[in-house]
Amino acid sequence: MTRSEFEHIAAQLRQKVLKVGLQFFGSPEDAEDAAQETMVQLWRYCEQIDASRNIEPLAVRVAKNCCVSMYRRNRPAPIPSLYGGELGSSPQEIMEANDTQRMLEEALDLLKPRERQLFEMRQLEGLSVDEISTETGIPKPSITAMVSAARKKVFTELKRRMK
Amino acid sequence: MKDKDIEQLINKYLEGETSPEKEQEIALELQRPDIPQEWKAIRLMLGELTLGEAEYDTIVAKKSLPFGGGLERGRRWFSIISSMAAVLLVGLFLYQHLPTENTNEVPHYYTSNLSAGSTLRNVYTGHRHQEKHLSYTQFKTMLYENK
Repeated sequence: MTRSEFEHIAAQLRQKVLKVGLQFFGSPEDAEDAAQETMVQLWRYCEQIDASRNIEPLAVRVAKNCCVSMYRRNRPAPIPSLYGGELGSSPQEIMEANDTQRMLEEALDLLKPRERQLFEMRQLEGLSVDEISTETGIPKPSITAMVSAARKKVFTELKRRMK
Repeated sequence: MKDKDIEQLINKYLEGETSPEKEQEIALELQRPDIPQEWKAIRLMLGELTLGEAEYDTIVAKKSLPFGGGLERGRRWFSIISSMAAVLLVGLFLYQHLPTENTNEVPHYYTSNLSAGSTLRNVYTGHRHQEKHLSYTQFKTMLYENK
């Protein structure tokens, strides 16, 4: 998706992500901040987004993540994960996170285009098999089989690299 | 959730048989610090977006509970009780300081030292320094109570 294509849908998208923030914070000011941050994130990565796809599910997920990040930042103590461990923010932890992200990208590069598309529809956009089937016209059993094949390939590759 | 249950969910995930909600559940479970190496790969595959969405839903659900939870619930109860106490104090203050409208009622000092044999004159002369204008109705009431 080009920057100008994104600008074309930005206003409509902003309303959608604003609702996500409002539901989470209850205050219009915080919701505005979350919406702003979401739009910046989407703007930054919009060129990597497939223009033929509906961007809304991804925008909603990014908005939810922005809300949670803001919620963590606004708490007085270092909060974080639900299991008590703090999220990494030291240079070493950031470097490790970047390494694992790169590892995942390289594992995804091994997938066939169709597999990768379905994998990302499930993982990035959080769409269900039914929703993917409606959007792509592919029968549900085929989607399940292709998603499974993609996940197993990525899993095997990640395990090999993590040893 | 037990390790065995997580293992089963992961297998279903690899088979493509889990719903987005189940995958959020797995993402939350895999935030434990001491998970096996293989599970770390799954955590990476599920990604930050799945985890963030799971946390978002958890927080929203917690907020939508009546009076929230934990510390938040305590704060809300404290503010409710404080408000009620403030209203009661204001009410008590007004009750004690505002004049009453009912003039037919005989103030207690008119009858406080009446005893058997007291006459209207005794009563009136004994208390006229407190109240100069006693109505006819009030005198009638005092006489009636004194019989």
